[in-house]
Amino acid sequence: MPRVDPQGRLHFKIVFWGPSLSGKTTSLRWIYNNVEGITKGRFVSIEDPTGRTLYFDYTPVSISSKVVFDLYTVAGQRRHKIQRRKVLEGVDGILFVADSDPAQLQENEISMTELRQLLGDKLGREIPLVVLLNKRDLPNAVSKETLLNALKIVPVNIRVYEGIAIRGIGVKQAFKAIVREVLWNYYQRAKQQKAQ
Amino acid sequence: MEPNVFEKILTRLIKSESGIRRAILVDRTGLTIAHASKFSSYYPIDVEGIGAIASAIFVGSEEQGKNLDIGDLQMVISEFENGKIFAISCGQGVLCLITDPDVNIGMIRLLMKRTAAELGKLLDEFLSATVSIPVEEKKEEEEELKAALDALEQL
Amino acid sequence: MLSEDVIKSILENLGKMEGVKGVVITTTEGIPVHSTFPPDVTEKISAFAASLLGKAKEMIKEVGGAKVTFITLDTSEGELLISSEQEYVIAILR
Ligand SMILES: Nc1nc2c(ncn2[C@@H]2O[C@H](COP(=O)(O)OP(=O)(O)O)[C@@H](O)[C@H]2O)c(=O)[nH]1
Ligand SMILES: [Mg+2]
Repeated sequence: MPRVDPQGRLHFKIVFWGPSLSGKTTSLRWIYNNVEGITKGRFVSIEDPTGRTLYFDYTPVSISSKVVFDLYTVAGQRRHKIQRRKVLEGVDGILFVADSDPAQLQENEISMTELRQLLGDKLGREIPLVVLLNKRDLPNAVSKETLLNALKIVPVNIRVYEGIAIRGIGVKQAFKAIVREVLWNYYQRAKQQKAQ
Repeated sequence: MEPNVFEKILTRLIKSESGIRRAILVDRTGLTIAHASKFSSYYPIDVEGIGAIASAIFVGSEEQGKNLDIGDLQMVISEFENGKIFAISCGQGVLCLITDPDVNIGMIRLLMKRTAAELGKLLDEFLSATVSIPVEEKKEEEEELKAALDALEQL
Repeated sequence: MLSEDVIKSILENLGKMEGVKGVVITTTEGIPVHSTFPPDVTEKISAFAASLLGKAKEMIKEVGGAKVTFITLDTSEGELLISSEQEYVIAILR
């Protein structure tokens, strides 16, 4: 559920999820630096000295005056599970950033399993999910099918994009898709509520 | 509820003891609810980012307390070279004060405990009210959602 | 930090004073280091005594620059004495 702040703006929380080093921070930074037409706050990161996310990255963006998207990434390393759970509190939509590196195949799977455990059957329903298959530029990238299999994702009911975050490819499309789904999802549910 | 009731309470808190520079009220998901500062900010400060970290640190410490089985978290005091940050649980939210380094810690704690009790009630009221928006406001909200969807396609 | 010995000697001296009901020793930051009162009362006395002494020092500095050594508050139910010892504030109720 989005929250209303005292200025009457609707806040939706979107979390970029995925295993360590899959490109979540790169994607969020790219959106922050390159998508025109959004109003943004500062980019906040809690990271270790090597630039790995320790807790989260955060930036608020808005595309219209009354709606704000609070964008977060999580720390992907396994030991940060508790921090991830905290960041997930109040989430309205998930952009799952998967890594095409064959060595990371199992990490993708583990990360998706953890997400499913935390959100239960809300994931993909009340809380929309969009998947970005990142690092498609890697010469040894695993096939799309293999990756989706590992994630147990059927692309029929879930939007999947292939991308190269370091070059900004596919990132904007995936971002727009999750924002659209989050807005639609809430719009439909608000209408249903009104009809009752 | 009066729209700037939170700012008013925060402003009163800042004025009640010397050395308090700013006060921020956040919820436990990282959303900034209200903010007040002693000086009309000379430099732009990203309140929402600060609020997000303040909330995360508090919630993180709370979790640590649970893991270590040492009970509920009441207050976090962070001491820096040139200032202090105080954070206290406040209903469903967290109240944060940023102060000068040489403040009366005892007094700030006392003031925060009192204010948190008052603010906590109001905040819980506010947060529970926003989940059930009255029907007449829904219309307006529908327009806002449409505007956002339109703007999205322009990106 | 105030050593056990110093606290002990302060308390011993106070013991010689007449009619002492209780004492709180706090830092100038209002953090209690020793008290004969329950925690909630200690918290309040510490905060206000340190604040009051700070204000008094500030005032005296503004008007002349002498050193504040002692504050006495007379109330309908007795006295509150506040003195400063190094970086500590001692509040005595009697
Ligand atoms: N080859 C390649 N590397 C990428 C891509 N996206 C991110 N990276 C690199 O992967 C590493 C981890 O990225 P980061 O965004 O920090 O990952 P996070 O842990 O998910 O936040 C960095 O060295 C990035 O430069 C991509 O599309 N292709
Ligand atoms: Mg990262």
